[in-house]
Amino acid sequence: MPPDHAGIAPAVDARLTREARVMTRYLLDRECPPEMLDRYARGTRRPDADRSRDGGDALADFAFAHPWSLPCLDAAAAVLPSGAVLRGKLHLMTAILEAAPTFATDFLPRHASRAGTLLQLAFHGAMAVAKALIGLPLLLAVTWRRR
Amino acid sequence: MTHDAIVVGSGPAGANAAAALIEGGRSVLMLDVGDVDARYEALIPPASFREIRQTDPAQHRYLLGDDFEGVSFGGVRVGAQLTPPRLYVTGSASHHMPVASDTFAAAESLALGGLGNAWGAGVFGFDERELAEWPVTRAELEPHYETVARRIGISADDDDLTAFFGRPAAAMPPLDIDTNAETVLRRYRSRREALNRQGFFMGRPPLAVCTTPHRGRGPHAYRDMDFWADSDRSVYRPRWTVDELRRGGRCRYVDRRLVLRFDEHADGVAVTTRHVDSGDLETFQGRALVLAAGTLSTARIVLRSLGRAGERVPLLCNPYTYVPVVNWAMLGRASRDRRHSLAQLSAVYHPGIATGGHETDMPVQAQLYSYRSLLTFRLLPETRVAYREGLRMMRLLMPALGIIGINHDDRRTPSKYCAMRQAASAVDSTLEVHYELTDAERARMDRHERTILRFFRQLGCWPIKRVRPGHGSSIHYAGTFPMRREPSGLTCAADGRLAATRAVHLVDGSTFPYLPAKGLTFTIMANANRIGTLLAQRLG
Repeated sequence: MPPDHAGIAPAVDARLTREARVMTRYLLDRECPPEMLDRYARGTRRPDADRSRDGGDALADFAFAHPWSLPCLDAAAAVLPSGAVLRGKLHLMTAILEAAPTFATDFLPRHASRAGTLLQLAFHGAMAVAKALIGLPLLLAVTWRRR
Repeated sequence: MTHDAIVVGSGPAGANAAAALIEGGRSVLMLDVGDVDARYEALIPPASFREIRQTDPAQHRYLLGDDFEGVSFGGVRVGAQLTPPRLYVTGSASHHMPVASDTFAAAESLALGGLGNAWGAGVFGFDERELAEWPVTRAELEPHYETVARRIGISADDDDLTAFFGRPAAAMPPLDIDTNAETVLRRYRSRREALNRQGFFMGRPPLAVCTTPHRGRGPHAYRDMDFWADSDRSVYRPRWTVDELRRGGRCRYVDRRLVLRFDEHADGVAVTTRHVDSGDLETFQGRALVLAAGTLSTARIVLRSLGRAGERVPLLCNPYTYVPVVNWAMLGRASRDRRHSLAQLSAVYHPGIATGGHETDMPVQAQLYSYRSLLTFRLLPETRVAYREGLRMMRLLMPALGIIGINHDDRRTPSKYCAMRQAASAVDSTLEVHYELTDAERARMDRHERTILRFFRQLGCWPIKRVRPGHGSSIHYAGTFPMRREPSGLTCAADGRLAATRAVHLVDGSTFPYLPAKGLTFTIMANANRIGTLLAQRLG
């Protein structure tokens, strides 16, 4: 039996569905197909995958409740250990999206001229830094408020 | 029923010792747990990585694993390069053969074919200097390198590395390298004389991969799927040899048996096993015993059988560092999809040449891999930027991205050892391992790595960071019962016979007195073939 349909409850948990949708839009600007919602829900069942399951995680909860904040919180979480749960969710969702033919072209190497490559690398690098600078105070505020 | 020889294990050592015994006219009983992949192998289509990525709707099953076992949420771990279809190789070993250590992460195998199911296929012969502590010369080992080369199928170039690795007479033409490696090799050739004077040499690694049809295998199809599948059977796996031996009729293969101990008697050796599913104990009789269970597992069997629990035996393991690099010449260049996923290039840094013989350190070896077919998501946590930007940057960098793996040699010191735990239970298999480098060894590693990376920078490969995944990560274990010219106690004779026994022969890495900075598998196979040949003559 294909594992996507093995042992999955008919109604996928609403929280996980929302998370998967928000992350797919954030990562690829695309909609998440239903089978990948299931896959994400299954992935979070792995004991080490979703450390927020029992107690919740302030940062992840905030990011998925306010999707506008996800890019900046992800960038900030990349450099701070307190963002591990959020980064873990993004890691799982990225893996699921990458292993699907629908999104293969979003992950396979992209060709550009050398100048174009360098310019794009500089642009994305600058974006990541800028988002991290905005995200750091936001991350600290969200985690501090929940303490 | 008594067999001429009982061979324990079906990995590179066991398969090649058994082949030599059978070619010498002896009957062999091979005892093995023999785990196989029953889940993923049949799912993977015989297509290229790109084709699969773009077309196969079931790819998530083997790329990520049905239980997402291919998605790591922790840091770097030993065996992290194993993909879900390869995880069975080490899957049940930690359950049946626990290792207790806070300094060493061991990877062992109970699979049919052992760790050879997941090796990098590099075949590097040892030279005279590296064999100096052996009671065997290169000339004595040479015919066995050739025999093994003919058996397993080797492709190799005749280039600057031939002096270091050798090139078997039966070698097939080398594998084509990818676009990334071509640019590096081209730069090396344009700077060759200066680099050689400084002790740096580069070329294509000799690999146990068929580039022409060989014993029903190959040639390599350049699908870039070598980390995932063996659909063209071009990369050598010891199970190909075991399959051949079983078809030949003189090898009885008994699986699901974990060997616990041996007891010698007047007519030979009794081997006690435990069935891994039922737990039943069973005893097999042989005139001689060949232990090829892998260095750590063989140590368990020997120490338990000889009642030497608690006694320390030395342990060798190549210290290993890997370094992601960006090859600037590839930025903005498209690379061919027709490629293989194994090491594209090898490099040797020989400090003695650089210093006109003043430096006595042994050579250091590096391999260059192109990072393509292990999926992008694995790299993103390492980038320390937001996933969205990280993904877009990695797509641009991917054609230029490489991984340099650096192996260092290893010698015995008092701080590297293993011992069977003094246990209440007679079948407790816990092996305690302690492994620490001395300050001098660490300083030497650091010095050589900086030098090697300087050479790679001259070739256009800019290091991003050095990663030391921890002791044990090379999975090159050896040296527990070294061969000696005058063996005594827990050492072996030149024919692999354990000194404290009459008919127990060790053929895996256990017998290596020294571990050069080279993959050891080819020499394990050649040495196993040598010992198997000698034993076949003795049993005759």
